[in-house]
Amino acid sequence: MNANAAMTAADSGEVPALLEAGGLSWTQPAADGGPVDPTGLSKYSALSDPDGAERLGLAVAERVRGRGANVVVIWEEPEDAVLAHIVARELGVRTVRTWNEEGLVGHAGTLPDTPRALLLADAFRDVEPLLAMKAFVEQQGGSVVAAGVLVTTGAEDEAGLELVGLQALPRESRSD
Amino acid sequence: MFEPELTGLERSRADRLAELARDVVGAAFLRGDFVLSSGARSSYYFDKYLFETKPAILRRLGAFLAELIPPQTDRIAGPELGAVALASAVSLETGLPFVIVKKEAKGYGTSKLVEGELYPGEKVVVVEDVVSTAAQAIRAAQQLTRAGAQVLTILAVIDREQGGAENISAAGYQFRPLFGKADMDL
Repeated sequence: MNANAAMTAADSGEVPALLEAGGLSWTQPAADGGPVDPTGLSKYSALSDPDGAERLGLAVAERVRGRGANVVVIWEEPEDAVLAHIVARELGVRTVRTWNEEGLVGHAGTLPDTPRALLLADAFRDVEPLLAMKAFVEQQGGSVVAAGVLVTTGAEDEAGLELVGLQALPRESRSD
Repeated sequence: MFEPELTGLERSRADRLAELARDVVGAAFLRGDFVLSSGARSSYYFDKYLFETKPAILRRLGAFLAELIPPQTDRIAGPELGAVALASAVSLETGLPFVIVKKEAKGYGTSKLVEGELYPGEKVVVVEDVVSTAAQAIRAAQQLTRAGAQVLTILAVIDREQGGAENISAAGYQFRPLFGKADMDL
């Protein structure tokens, strides 16, 4: 699909509905009016809504296009691999999967020479995976061009990374 | 500073502990350029499997960790995967049953985060292998707490002293490592 010519999900305002269709929802454990706890975010599953995943992936790809990423890096979650596949395909780059291997960062796939990485997830629920992926890319002589997400949580700021997101985590619950 | 004279028995214990520390370092201490899952870079790494899979070391670790188990403890807990062998060793030493705390519940099968028997109100001690930021140990303790257990303390073989003790305290748990960096003579 040529995303350049298409109106993306972000442009059309359909992101919240697509997130919900993919099962990404958030709950507020306490009715204290505070920010939603990002660790309470359920995982977005592209398997639940393939068409929606395609649209969201295209929207992220459009947002990061032009930043010079030559690899998409994800952390552990198989659900993110589907999203990464769509984004990487649109950018014409490869995907590398990383994980916590007993305290060390393990990886599958090969980073390009001088990697310029887009760190991708549906959302980063805590800062540690971002820091781990960033350190991994830097150890390999590369750099991180941005963190790309469907929902921003603030973890990206903690990691000191430039952020590309489709929607911010709201301050109010959307629990059922 | 005044240092009380050790009795023969105490000296023997201290000697045995120091000897164990040397054996752990000899078995599992690696030098290199490592990226830790916390995002930190490190010039060294403890490959826990290299000390946990040696019965002569594991048996002694089980005995020394058992000494740190509070008497009111009902159950031991070992976060998967590495600490399961340690939890087993402590369980055999103390006779206390143990549970395995999984990293994450799978979306299929039983979807259980805690494997084995665990009953609400039980007093549990978490046994961890190597602590850096203690993220996994804290996660395990929180899972046990959510399951209704009371986590008495988190024990570890090695504290790399990279904020783990502070993070555990901030999370509201107690922490007792068997060895700190100074004990390992790194």
